[in-house]
Amino acid sequence: MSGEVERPGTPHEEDRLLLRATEVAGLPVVSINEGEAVADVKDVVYNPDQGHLLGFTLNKRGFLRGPMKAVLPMDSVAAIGRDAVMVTDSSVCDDKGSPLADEVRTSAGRNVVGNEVLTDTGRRLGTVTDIVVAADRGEVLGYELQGDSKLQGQGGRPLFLPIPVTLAVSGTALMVPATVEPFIRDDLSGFGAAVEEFRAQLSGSSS
Amino acid sequence: MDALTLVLLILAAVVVAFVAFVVVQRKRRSGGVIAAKPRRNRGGS
Repeated sequence: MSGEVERPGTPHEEDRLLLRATEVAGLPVVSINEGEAVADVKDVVYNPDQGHLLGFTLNKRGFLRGPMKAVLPMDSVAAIGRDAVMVTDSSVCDDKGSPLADEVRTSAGRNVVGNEVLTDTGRRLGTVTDIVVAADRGEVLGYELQGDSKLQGQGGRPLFLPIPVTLAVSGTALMVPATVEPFIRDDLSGFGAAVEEFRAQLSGSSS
Repeated sequence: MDALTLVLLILAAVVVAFVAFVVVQRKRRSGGVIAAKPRRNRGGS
């Protein structure tokens, strides 16, 4: 399945599974204790301030079933795999009124797919088509872009853009430092390493 | 309007309503990637 997108070569990253958020959407949420799927993932919700996943909104199971009011906070997730999101028990899905449900309600319409990415020097890098997350830690590592034609030299292949740990998101545009450009990749192989190098450079220049 | 035409019209209306329901439901089910709004007092490490 296309959910597994990287097998990096370094031992440090061997266990890291990088997933696109849109590949997580639609996965079944499976209860470990009960051994059955309790919902499907609808939206992936993340915190751009801290660069990590907050949780998921859910659909009822079945082709014609609608969205659920319940949400799944990230700290209730046991594991995110290529084929399912695992939870210990079906009761971990929070109903409306939970902090994540409030977060989702107040953030409605802030879908970053389709947003433009601009550098702090005013250069447009492209349009977001997805976000890349490290499944083991729920960390948001970067964006997949339909890039600017000058950047997109490899026959229209998507670009992968590392993001800082903290990031400004306005609702229509995403701001990244101009220093990110050398770390843009057109393949997910080695993208995890590019993210770490980029963040190391940022932390080095700020200290 | 004879009975057959009436039946066909009703069937067509049912089909259109079902297709509209499926389209709306699929749109409601389709997901996205939501960036939570920043909060000044958000907790966390």
